[in-house]
Amino acid sequence: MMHDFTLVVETDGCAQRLAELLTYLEAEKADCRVLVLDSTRVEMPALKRARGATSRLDVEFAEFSDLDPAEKRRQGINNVTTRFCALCASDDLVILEGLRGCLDALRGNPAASVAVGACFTFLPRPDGEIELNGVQLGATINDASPLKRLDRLLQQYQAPSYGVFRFRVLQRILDALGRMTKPFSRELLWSALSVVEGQLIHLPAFSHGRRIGSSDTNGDPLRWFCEDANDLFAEYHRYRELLSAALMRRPDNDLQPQEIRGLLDLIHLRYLAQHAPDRLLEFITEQEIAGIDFAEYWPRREIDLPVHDAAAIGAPDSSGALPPMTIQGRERSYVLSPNFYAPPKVESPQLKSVACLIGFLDGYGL
Amino acid sequence: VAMQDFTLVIPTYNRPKQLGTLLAYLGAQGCECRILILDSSEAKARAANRKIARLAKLKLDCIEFPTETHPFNKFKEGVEKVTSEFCALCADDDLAMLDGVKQCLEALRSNPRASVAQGYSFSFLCHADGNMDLGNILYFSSTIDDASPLARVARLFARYQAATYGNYRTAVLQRIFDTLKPMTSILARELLGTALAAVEGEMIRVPCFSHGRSMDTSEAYEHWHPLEWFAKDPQGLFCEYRHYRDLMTQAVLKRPDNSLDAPAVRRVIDLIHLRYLAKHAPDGALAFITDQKMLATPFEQYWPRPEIQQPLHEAAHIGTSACAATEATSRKSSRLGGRTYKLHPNFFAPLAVDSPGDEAITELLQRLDHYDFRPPAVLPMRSYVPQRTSRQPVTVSVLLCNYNDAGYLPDSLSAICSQTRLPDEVVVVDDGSTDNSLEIIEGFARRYPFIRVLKNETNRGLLYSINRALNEARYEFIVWAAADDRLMPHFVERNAQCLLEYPAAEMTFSRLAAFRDGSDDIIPFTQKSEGVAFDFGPAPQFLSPETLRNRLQNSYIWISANTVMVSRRALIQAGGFDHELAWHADYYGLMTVALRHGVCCIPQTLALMRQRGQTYSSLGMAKRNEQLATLGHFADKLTAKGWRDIGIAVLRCPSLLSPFGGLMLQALLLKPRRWPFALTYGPWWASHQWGRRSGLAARIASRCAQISLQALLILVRRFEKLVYWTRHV
Repeated sequence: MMHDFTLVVETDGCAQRLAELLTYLEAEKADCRVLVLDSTRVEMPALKRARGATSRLDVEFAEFSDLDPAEKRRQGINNVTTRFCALCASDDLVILEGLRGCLDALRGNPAASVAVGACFTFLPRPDGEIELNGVQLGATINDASPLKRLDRLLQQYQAPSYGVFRFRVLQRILDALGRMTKPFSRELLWSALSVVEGQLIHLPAFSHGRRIGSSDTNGDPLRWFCEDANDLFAEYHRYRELLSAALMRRPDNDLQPQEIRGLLDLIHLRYLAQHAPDRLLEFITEQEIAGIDFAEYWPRREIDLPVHDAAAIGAPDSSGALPPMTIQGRERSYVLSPNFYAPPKVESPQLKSVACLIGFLDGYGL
Repeated sequence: VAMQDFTLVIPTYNRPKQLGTLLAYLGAQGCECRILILDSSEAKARAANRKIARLAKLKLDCIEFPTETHPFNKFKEGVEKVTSEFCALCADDDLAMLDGVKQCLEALRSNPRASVAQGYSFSFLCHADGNMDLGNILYFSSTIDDASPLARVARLFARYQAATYGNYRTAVLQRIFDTLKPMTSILARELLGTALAAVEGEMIRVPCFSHGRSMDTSEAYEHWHPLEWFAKDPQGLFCEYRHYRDLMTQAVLKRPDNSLDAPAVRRVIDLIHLRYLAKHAPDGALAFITDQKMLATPFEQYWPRPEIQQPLHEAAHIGTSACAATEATSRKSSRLGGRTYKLHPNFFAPLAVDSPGDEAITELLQRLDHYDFRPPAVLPMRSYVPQRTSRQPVTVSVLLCNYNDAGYLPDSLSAICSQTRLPDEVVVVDDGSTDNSLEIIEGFARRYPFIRVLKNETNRGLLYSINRALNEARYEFIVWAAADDRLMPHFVERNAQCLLEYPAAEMTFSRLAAFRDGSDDIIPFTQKSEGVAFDFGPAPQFLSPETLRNRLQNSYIWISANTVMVSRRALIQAGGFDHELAWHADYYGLMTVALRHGVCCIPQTLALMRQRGQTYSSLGMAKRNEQLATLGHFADKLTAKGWRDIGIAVLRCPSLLSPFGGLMLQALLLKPRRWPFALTYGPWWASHQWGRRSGLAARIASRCAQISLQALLILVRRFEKLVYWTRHV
């Protein structure tokens, strides 16, 4: 069922987590190809152990020394030989059933470039329980015009980076990211190019879990604006040129570069305005006028609340309003935070999906 | 308290009636302050203003300026002449409420930290029958008295309201005008002017009416709203912002009450303006604009739509706290023959400010009883494009659109590239040619670095291409050179020289001449061969809007687009090249610039038109039905909002329609709202048609048509408004 799919696993240097992931995939009888991209030589013995433990999996290890993660990803993806692929960090989780649904959706819709299931964040606790925190349940973006798709993506922005991509699409996207200098702009361009290339299918079933505290966390445009507005605009300029070029290459585009640039500016002004709520700007301005350093005022509740609200991911400590919920699984307990079972601005995940998810997580040896 | 230390500065331009009414009103209020009139009117209005000033029993001085003086320069120079401690500006059609001004002055005198004091400002509209509408309470924010200049600026922009018509310390206002000099846009001047007032000191808000703004001004300024500017030209907006930010930073750094260094000041200014921009770009409006741009809807069509205007009004807190069903109320005055005041809900129950209250409204209406203005039939044309000074060099972009004209390109491009004074740039748009045009163009571009090549991926049509080139052009003046026409070697030099000699001019044109395809023989169009329309006089001359209209009342003057050099900005303000007007788009755009700003006429042949069988215009005009529909759009545009001044000019000068012949008359008769134009154009056309014939009957008919035209024009002048607005009846 998944022979035309490759799961590309990016290691962060911790062979133990990679071994856990591969063991889990084998236990789930993953019939896809697995490509491990690694750049940490010291971990090779552990990798070999991991390989030995997963003899039934179709795993390939590709080594990249002295490369930054973005370049490793760009080069590594060239080892994919299947039509579809998805990325996964070694400390993340994939729900194979969700990935299969994404693959089916992609196979059945040639106009789509990427299919994404529901994504959640999790944190294994020292006592063995797993905390399920945020959840991303986006809407399918299937407009005919690439610019319209981009507009819709940025209105309720959710990065589809961990979705299932058509391989050629992902290859083109990763090639284009080289000129970006910050993880934030790389992620935004990645997402934007995904919808420029085709439709973005969102499915309600869980397909991917991100460990809280993963290395490539999202940035925030307002934070960047406050730290260095000139740098933000310089990066935006490069970003816009790459996006315009991609749009100009589309056969369904009939706009001129000047018109495209004007529209991109409008779409991104809207995005920036949504991520710069008025009360937050007021607070920051007051702090700056008072001569308080950025590092002192940024990580404060007055900022976190509106930022999280604007990004529709809920406040990190919104448990005051709703209590966490505990569900007993076969192997362990799961603590569901309010951001998981009652996320702001999006529908709650269905109970059936949550039960299914917990069933899969029970098989994961964390 | 006396107002000896206060000067009311009244700039005026061609509106003696409004000025007279304002001065009479101030006299009736017992105005004790000094009044300084800044007059840049044309001769007739200037003479009337002098008479009005002589008769007014007020402490009044008048400074006269050349007609072409830009309003900003007039204000700046005028305020420099003020010698009293306090002053305020008041447009000639606005109202200063002296009781309110007195209260503002008291507040200023008692608070040395304050730079400006403002009461509430309301909007009003006078009707020809003497009645008056009171619309919105415009400015209402509370006093801004924070200790630091940036905190004051932050509060100002959190709920921005202009302080243009506030009562200032004169020294502060003089400094503000001095700082504003490098700014060119209306928006940046207004924003920076108000921000500098906050930088200079506290901004006091006194809860009383102090100023009335006439709603009758209908000038189509460009770049007056941040979102409008952003939607049209984001790069231009950010360029202006950078300059604006530097000026504001310098002003803040000079203040003793500022404690931040330059990078911190810039950071705070960025934050304040991001907040301001976000407030003025509501999500609903942005979504609508994005959708419209994706559909390629022209800006002029989508911008006035309620989907944009409604959120913008809400963002500006313009609205009413009264329920939606509340209607306007009327109050009748015992004076002025029983004038009726129509009070709109936004006035008596405004959204973001306490209701002024019945007592204050009654008092205001009693004051307004002394203001007896009835609008004239026709609003005068006003010049609003910044005027150049003679010292500024003229910069030129030549625009050339090509579609499969490879055979003519070497000729036309060589002529452009061998000008005695080279253009500053040549923008060539290739409209998806399928011949070897692109190869030729790129060959020229390699040799001449001032050529910029733009390519349409598909054939988008001439008007799309020329509008694209117009938007891409970087210099002050543009020349539209057709791919198959030819510029004479002195074209750019002579036109630029003429613009330097006549800094008031926004456009030049020269004598039309043609050459046959395949031949170098020039065919001149002279008065002798073609008639009075080609009478350009013996020497270059500037025809002011007034002179031009006078000339056009007697005869047409032939302005051929291929001979024109025109201000890019003025042409864009005139709507560029309107797609609906097809092959007549250039005529309408250039006619509008000429009528609004005047034009320089050069009686020399500087450009040649190729006579060939199939051109865009000739093919279009040959299709009778399409030509009729296009002329219909042309006539409809004359009656559309924003083109009132041009419509009236065409009513007065029917010769402007003469290039379209009898078919235009037919188009005018098709719809009742076009009939006013048919009334004057019909006799004009008939008199010229019959005048050419030699028979006695034709001559009598021609004479009759002339007489009826004269009679109609007299009627038009007397009842212009009535005739023009017939369509509303």
